Amino acid sequence: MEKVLQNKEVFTIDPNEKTICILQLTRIGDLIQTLQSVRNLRDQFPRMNLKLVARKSFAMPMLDILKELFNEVHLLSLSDIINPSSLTDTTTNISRLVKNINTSHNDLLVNLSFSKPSGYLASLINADHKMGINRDSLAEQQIPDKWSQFIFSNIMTGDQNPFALVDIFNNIFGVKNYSTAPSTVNYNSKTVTIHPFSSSDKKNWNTNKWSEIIYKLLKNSDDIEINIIGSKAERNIATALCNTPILKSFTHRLNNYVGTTTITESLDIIKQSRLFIGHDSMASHLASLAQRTSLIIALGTVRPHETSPYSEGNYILVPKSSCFPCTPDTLCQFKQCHADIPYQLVYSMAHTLFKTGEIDSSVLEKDNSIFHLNSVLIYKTYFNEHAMLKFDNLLQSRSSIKEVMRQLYRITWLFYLSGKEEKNSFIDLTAESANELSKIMSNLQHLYELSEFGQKYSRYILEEISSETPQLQKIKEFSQKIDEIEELSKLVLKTAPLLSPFIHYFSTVRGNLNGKNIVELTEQTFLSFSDTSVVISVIYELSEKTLAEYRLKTNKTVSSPVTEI
Amino acid sequence: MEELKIEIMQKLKEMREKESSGQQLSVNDSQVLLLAALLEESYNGESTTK
Repeated sequence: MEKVLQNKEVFTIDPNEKTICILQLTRIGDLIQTLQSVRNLRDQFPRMNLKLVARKSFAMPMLDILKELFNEVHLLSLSDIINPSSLTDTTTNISRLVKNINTSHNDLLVNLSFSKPSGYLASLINADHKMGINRDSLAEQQIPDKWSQFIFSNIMTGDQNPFALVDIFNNIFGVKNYSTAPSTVNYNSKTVTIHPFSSSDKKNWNTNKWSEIIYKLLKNSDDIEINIIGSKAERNIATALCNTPILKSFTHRLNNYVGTTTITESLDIIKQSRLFIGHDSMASHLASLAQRTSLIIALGTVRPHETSPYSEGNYILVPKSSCFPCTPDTLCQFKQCHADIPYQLVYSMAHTLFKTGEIDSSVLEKDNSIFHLNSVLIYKTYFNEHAMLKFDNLLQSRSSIKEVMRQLYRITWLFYLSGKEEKNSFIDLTAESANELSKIMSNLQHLYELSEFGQKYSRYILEEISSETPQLQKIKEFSQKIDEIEELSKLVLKTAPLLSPFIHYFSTVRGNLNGKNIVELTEQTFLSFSDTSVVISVIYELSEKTLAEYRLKTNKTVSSPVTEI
Repeated sequence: MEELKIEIMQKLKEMREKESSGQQLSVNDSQVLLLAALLEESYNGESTTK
């Protein structure tokens, strides 16, 4: 990497000589996804010094795997830090941990977790540059980089993120996906490994459905054996599952490893299996590390586009339930999404994958009742031309408005945040989603007008400042107008909640402007409103073309907004 | 543990006063803020990306 200085002297920066400290305080699943991204960084820069700061409870079980990639692993544990009777002792313990992290110079700190503690810890770690959430000397939250602002505004507050978390991490690091080989079926094995658990009841079926699937797999194929894996906390449920009366005659082909294996051993069990079946959980990420073909049932709070196993050739079953995905605090008695995925379909897909290693739409339609297919979306993962994970909709079902917007956002964000274009075919609309899209276009016009006003008032401020006799009162008035524009943008959210990714993203950008004085801050405000206009124009044009194609295909008239952006 | 919590609350109160007078926070203040956030999480459950 060459950099030219003003005096024309050329010097070379070798990233291999640099140190990156990565802060990841979230759960094991997030830690595995971090590891998948860091593997790309390591592949590209084999001699780079990489440090990890993680929670002891999540990192310890996979320390061997982490140490293969990181030069240093620092573990944070509240119980190790805290002295219940002395604040001084406790802060001394924190100082010791931070001192260890700061012992060797950090060129860059990347905070990949978006929790309060991670922001404060980031403020204590010394580094030349910081990315992700951190705090300034007044404890004010800062998010300096675009992709971290994207996570904060799109992932923490909504469910329309179209990217895999690993791809977002890759973009934060600025590396491409180099090392993920496709998942494959291991034909040397006769075992199917199942992980019927997750971190929350919302995200996994109860054991009845799993016992039906296991029963059918064992009954209909003499050569299949089943492994069940899980943690100690899941031991009782696993025992109950294995003792189900219908499985009694198959116990010799049912291996219950729950609570008896380490993460490394579980990874090995998955590697030795023909395929993996489970919910979106830590084990599904292990399956992608093991490069084993997986069949994943996404339920409850799971956002499949974000956290599905990061490798090519996995199959994801997603319920079409209108409330899916929910949030951790949503109360749910009936669990409609659990009912919308028929266990017969999961069995049929598992059986086909075991026998042939692949599933396509014709097989799905031949083997399954339309009633079973009607309530689900079935995706197969693959990598696009930029080596980013993407979903192939196997049932070619027409898209709901939420899905339409997710696809339009993917194209727009990729173009805006990374300057990349992706090959896409036209989105297949339903009559309902076409009408909804048309309404959203009207709201895009409102947002566009607001961002144009934003540019106008920031320009007025700059003009006032550069005038011979700047009047503070005028500057205040223009500044108030900009505040009003922010408030009006939030009002658009009420009529068009699907536009929240834009509105939240650009309000996050404007909340993190980095200027030393009023001129610099106003210039950046102007640029952010200008960017808002550009992004809205892109998605407006994409919507327009999608609707035009729909009209051509169906000869239907959809009311379209009058004005052109 | 109660003693520690009272001490943290006292420190947080002092910090709020510092903040309102525009004073910069010290390293020790940041350590207390980190500790308070960790304790808060230990009651509410660790964060995920959602």
